Amino acid sequence: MSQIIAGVYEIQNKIGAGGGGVVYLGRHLRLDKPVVLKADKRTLAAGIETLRREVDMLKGLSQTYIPQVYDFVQEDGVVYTVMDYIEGESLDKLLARGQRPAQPEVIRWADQLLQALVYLHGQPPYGILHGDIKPANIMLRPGGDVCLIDFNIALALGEDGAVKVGFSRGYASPEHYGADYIRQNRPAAVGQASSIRTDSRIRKSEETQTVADADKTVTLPATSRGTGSSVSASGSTASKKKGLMLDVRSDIYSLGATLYHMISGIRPEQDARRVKPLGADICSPQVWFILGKAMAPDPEDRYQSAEEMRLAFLQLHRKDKRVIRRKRQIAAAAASLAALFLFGGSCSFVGLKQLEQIQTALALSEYSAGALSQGDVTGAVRQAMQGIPDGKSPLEAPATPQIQKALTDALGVYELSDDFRALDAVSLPAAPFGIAVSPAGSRFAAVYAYEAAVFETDTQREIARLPIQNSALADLIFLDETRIVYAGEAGVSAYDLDTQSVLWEGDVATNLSLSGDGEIVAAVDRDAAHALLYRISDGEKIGECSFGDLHLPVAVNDSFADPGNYVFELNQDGSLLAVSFQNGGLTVFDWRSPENDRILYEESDYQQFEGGFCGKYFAFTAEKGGEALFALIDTEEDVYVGGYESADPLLLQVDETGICLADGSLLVRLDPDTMEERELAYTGSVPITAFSATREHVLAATNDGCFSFFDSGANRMSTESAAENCDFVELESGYALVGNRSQPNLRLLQLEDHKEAQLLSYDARYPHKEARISQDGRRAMLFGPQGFCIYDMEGNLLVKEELPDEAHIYDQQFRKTGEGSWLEVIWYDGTVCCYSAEDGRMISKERGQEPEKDLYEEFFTDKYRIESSLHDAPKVYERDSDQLVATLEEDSYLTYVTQVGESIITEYISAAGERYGLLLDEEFQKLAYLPGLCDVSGDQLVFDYKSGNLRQSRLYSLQELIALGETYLQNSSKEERRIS
Amino acid sequence: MSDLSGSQLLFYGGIAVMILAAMLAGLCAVFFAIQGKRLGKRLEQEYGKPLS
Repeated sequence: MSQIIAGVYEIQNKIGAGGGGVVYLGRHLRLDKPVVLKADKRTLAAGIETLRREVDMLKGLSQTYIPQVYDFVQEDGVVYTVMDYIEGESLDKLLARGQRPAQPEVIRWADQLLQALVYLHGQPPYGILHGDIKPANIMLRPGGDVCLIDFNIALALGEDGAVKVGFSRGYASPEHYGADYIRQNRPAAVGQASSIRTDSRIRKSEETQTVADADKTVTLPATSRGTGSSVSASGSTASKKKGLMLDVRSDIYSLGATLYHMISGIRPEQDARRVKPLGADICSPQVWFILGKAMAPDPEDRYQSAEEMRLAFLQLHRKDKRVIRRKRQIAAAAASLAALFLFGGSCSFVGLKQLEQIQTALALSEYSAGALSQGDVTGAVRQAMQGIPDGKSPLEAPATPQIQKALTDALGVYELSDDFRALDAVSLPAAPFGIAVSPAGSRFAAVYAYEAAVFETDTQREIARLPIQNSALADLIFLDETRIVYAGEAGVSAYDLDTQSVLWEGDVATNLSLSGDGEIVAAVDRDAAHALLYRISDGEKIGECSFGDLHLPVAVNDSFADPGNYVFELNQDGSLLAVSFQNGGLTVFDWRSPENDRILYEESDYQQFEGGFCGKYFAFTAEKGGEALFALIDTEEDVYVGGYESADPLLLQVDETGICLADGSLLVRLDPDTMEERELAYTGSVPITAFSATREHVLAATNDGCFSFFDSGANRMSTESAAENCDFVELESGYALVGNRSQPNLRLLQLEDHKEAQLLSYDARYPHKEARISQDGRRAMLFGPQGFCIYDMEGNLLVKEELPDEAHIYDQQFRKTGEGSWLEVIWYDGTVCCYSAEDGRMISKERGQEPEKDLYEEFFTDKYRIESSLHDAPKVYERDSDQLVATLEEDSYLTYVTQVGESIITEYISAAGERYGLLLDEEFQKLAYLPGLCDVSGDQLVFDYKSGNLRQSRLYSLQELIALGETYLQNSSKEERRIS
Repeated sequence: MSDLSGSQLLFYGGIAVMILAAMLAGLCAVFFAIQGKRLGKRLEQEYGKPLS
C-alpha cells in the first residue's frame, strides 16, 4: 500500500482505526521523516471549515508529552491530519501482556500526563479537553517517557465546558455516561457553572448509553463538536440524547482511571461508585488517595484542575505520613532540647546573677565593716542594707551570712556592754588644731585655721562658726552648755550660743585659761610678756599678770604648727596662774600679790610642760630629750610633795577631780594627799599618747592608731582603730570626741548603757570566769577556779563559796537539766563535786578516773557532732555519715554549743581569755559576733560584762534586722535633712 | 551541707544542662539524619525520585 497524499506524504501502512477515523503511518517525502496521517471519519458529515478549525487548534499545540500536529490536507475527499509519529507502544499493549509497571514508574508517567493536561487545559480561551484518556491513547516511548495521543475527540472548552462526543467505558467519567453523582446537599457556593452542569446532567440522567465494545471509543456526531453550547448528541447506541457538558474534571477522572488500571492491572468499573479501592498490597495509601480523589463520582470531590492533581503527586514525598511523623519527631525533639537548653541557660543566668549578687554582698559587707571601724555607723548600716536583697524577685539569692553579720555588727544589736558606740563622723572644713566638749557634753567645738565651729552633739548640727585668731595656739573654752569664751579674731570673746551673740570682747589674745570655778579667764597673746585676767560675767579686766621679759613657747609659724605642750593654767579660784616659758622656766604667779609668785624653774632645759591645779596642789610634768619629770607642789605650803622621773613621756590631766598621770601604757589616778595611785587604764605594750578621764570612764589613745575605753574598774570596755594616731581625745558626760591634726573630721562616740537589757547587777570586783543562769531562771551563778557566788535576779548575793585546791581544778561545767542546775567541778585527781545553783550546797562528790589533759569534749546538735579539744580547732561532723563538714574557730577554745531553732550558738574563750559567742546558721556560717556571751537561756542570750552586769537579748531574725536597719536609715535621713 | 551553694548549683547545674542539651541535640541530629536517609530510600523505592 503506497499512496502519495498532497504530493508530500506517502502513506505506507495502516496502523490503527477507531471511532475517529483511520490512522496511517506515512513519510514526509521531502523531509524523509515518519509522520502519522489520520484520515478523519467525519469527512463527509462535518464541513471542511469545521475540520480545519479543529486542526488549526491542534496545530498550535506544542508540548513534550503530546504529539505535534503539522498539517491538514485533503485528498480524494478525505481529510488527513498530519502529525508526529510517536515511536513505542501504547500502554494498553503493555497491560494486555499482563505487565504491571512499578508504582514509581506510574507516578512518573502520571506527572508527565498531568503536565500535558495542564498544558491542554490551559490553552486559550477556555482550554482543550482531551476527552478520551485511556491506556490505548498513551504511548510509551523507548526512552521511558509517555506521550498522550489521539486527539480524535479533543474538544475546545466553552465557558460552560464542552458537550460529550464520545467515551471509553471504564475510563470515561460518569458525566460521559450522563450519570449524576452530585450530592444533593452541596452548598450553593459551589458556583453558577456547577449549577448549569447539574441541570444538564439532570436532563441527561434520564437517558443511559450502553457501549458494546468496552475498548472502543464511542464517537458522537461531528455536528456537536467544538461548540461551547449545550446541544443534542447521539451515540452509536444512544437515543434521544440531550446536551451534556464536560470539563477538565472529566479528563482528571479518565487519567485517574487509567492510572488505576496501570497500577492495579484491573480495568476500573464503569460505574464510578463501584470502583474498588486499592489496598496497600497494590499501591501506597497515599497514591490510592490521589487516584481515589481523581476518580470520585462527584466532580466536585475530584481535583478541580490538573495542576492540583499534579501538585498532589509532587507532594507525595512531602505529604507522606512517615515524613510528616518524622518532621513532627524532629520538631518535638528540637523543641524539647531547645526548652532544655533554655532552661539550663536560665538556671545558669540566674545562678550567675546570684553569684554576682553574692560577690557584691561580700564586698559591701567588707565596706560596711570598714565604715564601722571608722566610726561611720550610718555608712556601715547603709552599705550592709545595700547588700540585702530587696526580695522583689523570687530569683534573688538569699541574704548572705556575711552581709547579715555586717548588718548585725553595724546595728550593734548584740553589743550590750557599757560602751561608747560610734555616733557619727563629723566633717570639718580643715584639720583641727584642737577640740573642746561642753561640761555636760551637749555641745562640742573644733578649732581649725581661722575659724572655730560649734556643734550640737546629739545631731552634729553646726550651731555657730566663729572667726578666731590665726594661730594654732588659739583656744576655745566652754563656760557651760550655752556660753563659750574663745580667742576671737578681734580679741578675747565671750559668746552666747543660744542667742548667737557676743557677750563681751577683750584684747587680742591666743591662749586662754579658765579658773576652776568658771569666774575668771586668763588670756595671753602669743609671745606677749603679760597676761590679762577678765571677769567672766561681764568681761571686765580685773587684773594683769606680768611675765617680765619672758613669754610662752611660740613657734616661728604658729598658724599651723602646734608649739607643743606648755602650761598656762589658772587654779580653782583664779588667784594663781601657772605659766611655762620659752626658756624652760615655770612660775606660779599670784597675780593679785606678785610678791607671792613661786618660781619653780627660772630657766631649764625642759621643752615641754604640762600641768594644772587640783585644790591647793599644782602638778606638772616636764620633758627634755628622753627624760620626763613629774612633780607635785603644795602651793599653800610651798613644798614639793613628791614626784618622780621617767624615761617615757608623761601625760598629765589635772583638775578638781584629781590628778591623772599616764606613764607609758599605764594610766593612774594620784591622790595628792596620800600619793596613792589607782590604776585607771592599762594598754599593754602600747604606750598611751593621749587620754581623757572622767570619774566613770577613761578614753586612752595609743600609738598604734587605736583608742580604748575603760570603765571605772580599769576594765577595757572596747578598742577602736583609727587611721592615724589620735592627737585629741575628749570624754565628757557620756560623749567622746576623737581626732587628729591631719584629718578634717572628728569621730563622735556616745555611751550606751543598755539599761533595758539589764538582767542583774553584781559586784564587779568578784573575779570569775563564767556566769550562768539556772534552769529555772531564778539564779545566776558566777564561778571560777577560786570559787563561786550565787545571786538572785534582783541582784542579791545569796551564796559566796571558795573551792578547795584551786590550783588542781581541771575543768568546771555548769549543768542544766530538767531536775535542776548545778556546777560540776573536776579536779585532776578525778574528784568530781557538784554544787547546787540554788543554794550552793554540795550535792555530790565522787572520785572517778583522772581526766585526759587535752580538755576533749563533744557537743551535739540535731544533725551534727562537734569535737573540741584544747589544741585543735573544733571540728563538725555529720551525725549520720560521720563526715567532716566544717572547722570552727581555730584560735579559741570551744566551751559550749547550743542549738536554738535552726541557729547554732557556739561559745568560746579566746587566747586572750576573752569570752565570746558566735551565732551560726545551719551551714556553720557566721551570722553574728556575740561579745561577752556567757549563757543561752531558752531563746535569750545572756551577756556578762565586767562592769558587773548581766544583760540579755533575744535573737534577731534577718527581717527584724532589716526593719531595724531601715528605721535607722530613715532616722538618719531625717536628721540629715533637718541639719541641712 | 553541700560544698556548693544554691547559686553555684544553679550556675554550674545550668551549664551542665546546657551541655547535656547540646550533646543530645548532636545525637538527635545524627539519629534523624540516618533516619532521614533510610526513609528517603524507602520513599524513593515507593514513589520514585521526588518530582520537580
